[in-house]
Amino acid sequence: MSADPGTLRLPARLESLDPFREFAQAAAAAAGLSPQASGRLELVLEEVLVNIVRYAYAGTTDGLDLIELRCAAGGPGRLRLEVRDWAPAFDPLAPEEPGLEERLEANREADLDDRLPGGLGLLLLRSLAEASYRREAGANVLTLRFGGETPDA
Amino acid sequence: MEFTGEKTGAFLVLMVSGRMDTLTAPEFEAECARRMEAGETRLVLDLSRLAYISSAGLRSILSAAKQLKARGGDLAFCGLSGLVAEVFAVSGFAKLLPVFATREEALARP
Repeated sequence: MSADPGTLRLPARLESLDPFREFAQAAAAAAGLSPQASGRLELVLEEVLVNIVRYAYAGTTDGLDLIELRCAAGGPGRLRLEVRDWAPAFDPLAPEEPGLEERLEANREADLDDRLPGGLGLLLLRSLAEASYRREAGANVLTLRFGGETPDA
Repeated sequence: MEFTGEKTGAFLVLMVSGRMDTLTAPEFEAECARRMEAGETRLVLDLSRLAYISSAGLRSILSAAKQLKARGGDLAFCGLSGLVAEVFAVSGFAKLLPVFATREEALARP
């Protein structure tokens, strides 16, 4: 485990959601994030972490399913998060599944009876965070930036 | 999450306080199930004291809305602000479901 005060590494379990949230909120407060940016951060972080717990490591029981969160101030009122997991490669910003993008967009306008319950987390991630993805040394690394210029809601 | 119910005519106004996230959304589903079992079909959720909602909360709300519709009822909302209002807008829920600025407006419906 790292002694870096800006890094937290925990098992990919729902029980880890609260400690990750508290860790990120402390970093957000220290970085002077606005309440709006801080709320978006909290939301997007939950969506990303739950996706990793539920899908990325699905079926893994070897105790090696970890998630690492790094927080780094990115200037006044800005915060950069890096979420790292060691599951098979998955880019949440460019899913390989054909048609998912269209389904997400259709979902936004869909009627109550047509509406797909899935895909909402990804939709929120893409709408409320400035995000980028890379595969690095066997890990999925999602970089999220909050504060400063905010994406249109 | 905490719930306070208030019956007004055909409507049951449910004040929801706290956070509706992955860990707490099942509490909301249980509360809705309990109210439906008690015969309520027209729910108004007052979210003015809801500080946070994630996609897990949206899924629970969608599920409740579908169940109420199947019973000939409906689910409306009032008092959205901050992050909750933003999440409703971005997800399309603000268009999908009846959202009102105030409780009075939500209750002034046929």
